Amino acid sequence: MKLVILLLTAVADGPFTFTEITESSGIAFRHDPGEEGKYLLPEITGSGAAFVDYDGDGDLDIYLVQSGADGNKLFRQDADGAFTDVTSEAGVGDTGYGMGVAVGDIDNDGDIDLYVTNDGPDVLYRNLGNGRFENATRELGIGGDAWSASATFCDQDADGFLDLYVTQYVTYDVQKACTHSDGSADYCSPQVFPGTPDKLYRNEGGRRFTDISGSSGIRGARAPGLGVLCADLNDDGKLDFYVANDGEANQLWLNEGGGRFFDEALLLGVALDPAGQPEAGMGITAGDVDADVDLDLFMTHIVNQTNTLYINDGELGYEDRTTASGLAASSLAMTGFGTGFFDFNHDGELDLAIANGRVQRLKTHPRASSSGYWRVYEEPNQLLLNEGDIRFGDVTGASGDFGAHVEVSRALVFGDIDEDGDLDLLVSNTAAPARLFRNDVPKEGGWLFVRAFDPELVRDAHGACVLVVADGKSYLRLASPGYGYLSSNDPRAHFGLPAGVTIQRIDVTWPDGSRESFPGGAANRVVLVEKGAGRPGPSDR
Amino acid sequence: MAKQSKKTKTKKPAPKSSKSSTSGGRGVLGLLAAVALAVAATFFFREPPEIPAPDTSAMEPQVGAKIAETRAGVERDIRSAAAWSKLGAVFQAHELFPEAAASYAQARALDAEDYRWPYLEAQCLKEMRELVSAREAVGQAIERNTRYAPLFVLQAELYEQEGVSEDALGAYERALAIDPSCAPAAYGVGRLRLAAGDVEASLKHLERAVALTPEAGAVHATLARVYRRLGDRETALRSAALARQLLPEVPLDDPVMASVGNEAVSVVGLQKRAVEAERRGGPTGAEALLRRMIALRPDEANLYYNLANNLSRQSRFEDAEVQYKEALARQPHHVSALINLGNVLSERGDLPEARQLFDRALSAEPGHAGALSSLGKLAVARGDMRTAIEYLEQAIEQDPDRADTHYILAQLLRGEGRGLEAVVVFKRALALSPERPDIRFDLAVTYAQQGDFRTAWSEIHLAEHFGGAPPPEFLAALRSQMPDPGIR
Repeated sequence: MKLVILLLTAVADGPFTFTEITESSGIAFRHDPGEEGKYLLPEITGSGAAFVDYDGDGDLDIYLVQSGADGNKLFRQDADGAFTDVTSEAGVGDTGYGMGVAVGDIDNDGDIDLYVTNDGPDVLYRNLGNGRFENATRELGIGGDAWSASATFCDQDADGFLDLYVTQYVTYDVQKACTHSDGSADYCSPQVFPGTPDKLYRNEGGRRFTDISGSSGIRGARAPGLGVLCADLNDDGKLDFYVANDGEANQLWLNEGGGRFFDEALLLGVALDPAGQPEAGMGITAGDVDADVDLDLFMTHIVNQTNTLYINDGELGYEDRTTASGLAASSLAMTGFGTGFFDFNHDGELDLAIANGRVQRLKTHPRASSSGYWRVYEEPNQLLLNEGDIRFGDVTGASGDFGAHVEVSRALVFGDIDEDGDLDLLVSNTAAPARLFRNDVPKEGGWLFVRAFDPELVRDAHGACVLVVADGKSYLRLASPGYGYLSSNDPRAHFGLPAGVTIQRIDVTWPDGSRESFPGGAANRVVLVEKGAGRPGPSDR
Repeated sequence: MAKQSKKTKTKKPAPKSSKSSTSGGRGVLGLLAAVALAVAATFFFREPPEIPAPDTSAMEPQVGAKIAETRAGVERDIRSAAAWSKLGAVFQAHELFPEAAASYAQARALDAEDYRWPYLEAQCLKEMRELVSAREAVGQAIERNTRYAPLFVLQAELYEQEGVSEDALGAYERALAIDPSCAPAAYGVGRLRLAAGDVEASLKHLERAVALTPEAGAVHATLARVYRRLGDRETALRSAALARQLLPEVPLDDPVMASVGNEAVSVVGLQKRAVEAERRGGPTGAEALLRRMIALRPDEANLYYNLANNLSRQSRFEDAEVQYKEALARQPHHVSALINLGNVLSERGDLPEARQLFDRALSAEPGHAGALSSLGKLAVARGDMRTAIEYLEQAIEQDPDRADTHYILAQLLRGEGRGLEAVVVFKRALALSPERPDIRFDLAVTYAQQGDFRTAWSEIHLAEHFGGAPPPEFLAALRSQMPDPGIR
C-alpha cells in the first residue's frame, strides 16, 4: 500500500494538484437553472458537458449544456489553447431546458454530431463539416418530448452505424410539492413520479433513426434513468447497456443479438445494494480496477447511500466491494453525480474522481462558497487515489483547485485538453460557473493514448476495448466517450504506465467483437490503431 | 437584717477531655454536611442541559407545535427520562436526528435501566452517519437487554456498513437465536454467506427468509443471484421477476421503533404511519390517518387517491368512488385515479363511463399498461375477445412482468381456439408466478383440449403440489380419456 500524505484541514496545493484554468482559457459559462425557491425537480438535475473535437483539428473543444434561456454554448479550442465561443456561428445554441449531451458521428462522414437531451424535446445537431451544424432532429425521426437525461451513441447491432440509447427520467408533475418529514419544503424525490421507459434508436444508415425500444425489450422497464454506459460487459462480442436508475433497480441490458436485450442486472448483482435495496443511481463509469482484464463498474449515489464499486467476477457476476475498497466511508455523506476512472498520476492504477452536489437541504457544508439559495446544496468534489489491492484513499485535500471549490456539481468530463498526455477535468455546476482544471499532478510514470479508429466508417470505434501489454502486465481500458453523468468525454483510451516500461503489444476488441493485435513500442505518445490494419486473433481477454 | 455581699462568680473551666470529643464530632458532621450541600448545590443548581431547539419556522405548523409542546414537557421536569425520551421520539419521527440523539442521550443518562434510549439514540446516530458512536450506543442497549432481537439486527447492520462481516454475521445469528422468525436476520445471514462464497448455506437462509416474508422483494433479488450461481436459471429468472414486482423492504418487528413513528404529525409522517398501520392491522387502521392528511393539505390530489384506494381495500366502493372523483377534480390527468375509478365503475357494470376513464388515462400516458389491461378486461365484458386480446398483448409489451395479464390473455387465446399460443402464454404466466394452481389448472385444461393428456396430468399434479384442488368434473373427464399415469 502506498503511503499518502493528506492535507486534511486546509485545502492547498498538494501532491495531486489540479489547477483551475477556466478564466485564463476564456471559458465564460454560468449555468442558470431558473427561478429559485419553487423546488422544481429539473433544477436540481442538470446539467452536462462534453469534450468534443467538433472541427477535427485534433484538439478538444467544449460543449456546455444550459438550462436557462441563454442557450447551450460551444467553445472552440484555438491553437494557443484558448477557447472561443463559437455557438452562434456553429448553430448549436439550443435553448431547451438542457440536461446532457452525447457525441458521435451518426452518418460516418468523418465529423462528430451532437445529441442534446432536454426536459422537453431533444435535439440532434448534424455536423456539416465546416464549423456549422444543422438541427436534423425531425428529419432523422429522433427525439421526443419526455424528460431525457444521459445518452450514448453505440453500434449495438454492429452494422457500422452508431445507434442511440437515451435514458428517460420521470413523468414530471410541476404541481407536485414535496416536503421533508418535518414538513419543510424541498425538491421531490423521483419516486413521487412515474418512471419513464428509456429509448433505443437504431440508426438506419445515417439517414434515419427507428425507435426499437419496444421490440428490443427495453420499453418494458419504467424506471427513472439517469446514467448509461455502453460496453461489452459479458465479453460475448456484443455491446451491452448498463443503466443507472434513480431509486429503482439498475438495469444491465445484455445484447442477445437481433436487436433484443435482456435485463440481467438482478442476476448478476449490479441492480441493488448488498441489502437488496434500490439506490439513487446517477453516474456510471467502467474500468479494470483490479487489473484482471475485465471491466468493473462504479456508480454514484445519494447521501446516506454509499457509491458502489462492482468488481467483475466473470461467470459469477459482480461483487460489491465498496466497503472493502474504502469507497464506502468517503461517500456516505456525499451525493455523487459525474464520475470516471482515470489514472491521474500515471502509476498504472485507475483512480477516481467524483463531482458532488446535494439534492436536498442539509446542514450547510463548512466550506460552502455561495451565500444564497444554493448554499445548502453545495459540497466538495472528490479525488480518490488507487492505492493498490482495490483500495482507494481520499486525496481531495491535496488536489489543489479541484478540491477547493464547494459547489453543486453535476457533470465531470475527462479529456486531455492541453495534449500533454494526462487527463484534465471539466466540471459543470448548477447555478454556478463551469470550471476547467488542468492536471498538474507530478507523474510517477509514462502514458499512452490509443485512438481506436475504423477507417471504413471514418470514425472512432465507440465501445472498443484496448489492452496494452507492457513488461508482462496487461492494462485494459475502454475507448468510449459515453460514461459519467449527462456528459461525453475524450473518446481515446488513456493509459498511465510505470516508468520505463516497454509496450509489447496493443490488442483491440472492436465493437463488432472482432479482435486484432498491434505492435507495441515506446510510451508517451498517441497511437492510432486502425481496424483492419492489425494482426487478427484472440487477445488475453 | 444583714445585707448579702456580692460575690463574683467564676465559670469553672470544662474538663479538657470532654470538650475536644464534642467539637471533633461536630467537625466531621459539619464537613459531611458541607460536602452534601455542595453536591446538592451542584446537582440542583448546575447549568441544566440545553434542550434542543431547532428552527421550526419552515416546518409545517403542527410539527412546530408538537415540538414546542414536547419541549415544554422537558422544561417542566428536566430530570425526567420519560420527558426527554418523548422529545427524542418527536424529533426522530420528523427526522431531526441530531436533536433526537441529544435528547435520547439525556434520557439514557437519567435512566440507567431502559434499553430503549440507547437503542433509539443508536438509530439516530446511524442516520447521522456516526457509525462508531451508533455501535457504542447499541452496545449499551444490548448490555441492558439481551433479549430484544432488533438490537442485534441494528448492531449487525452497523458492522456490515463498517465492513466487519464476521461480527455482522454473529449479530444476525444472535438475533435469530432470540427470534427465529426475524426475517431481516435470516436475510442478513443469507446474503453474508453469499458474499463469503458459501452458496449452499446462503440458499438455506434465504429460503428461510422468503418463507417468513414472501412479499420482500430484496430476498427474492438475492435468491435470484444464488439460483443463477447454482446453475438454475429458470428459478433465478422467476425470483428476479418477483423481485421486480414486490416492494424491496424486509419488515422487522420492532415495537420500539414503531412507537416513535406514532409521534409523527407531518404529512409525510402521517403517510408513513398510514402505511405501517395498514401493514399491521389492515386498511381500517389507516383510514383516519389518511383523512388527517387531507385536512392538512386539502388541495393535494394524491391524498384523495390514497384514501380512495384504502376505501376500495375495505370494499367500500361507493365511498372510494367519491374520493377518486375528488382526486380527479384536483388533477384531471391523474392516471392511476382514472384507472382505479374506471375499475370500480366497471365492477358496478357502468361500462361506458369506465371506458371513458380508461381512454382518458391512455391519452394522458400513452402505452400505460394498467390502462391497456383494463380496456382489455372491458372488452371481455362486452364479449369482444379479439379487441381484448389486442389490448392485453399491448399491455404485456409495456409491462411484461405481470402474471395476471399473461393469464387473462392465455384464457382469451384458448377461447378463440388459439390453443398453442395459449399454452405459450400460460407458461409465461407460470414463469412469473409458479405457485399459482389456478394457472396450472387452466394450462392442464388447454393441454387436454389438444389431446395431450399426459402433460395435462403433469400440470394437475404440480397444481396439487402448490396446494390446489382440481375441479372434480375436469378430473373425471380427464380420467375418462386417460388414467392417472402417476407422474409427479
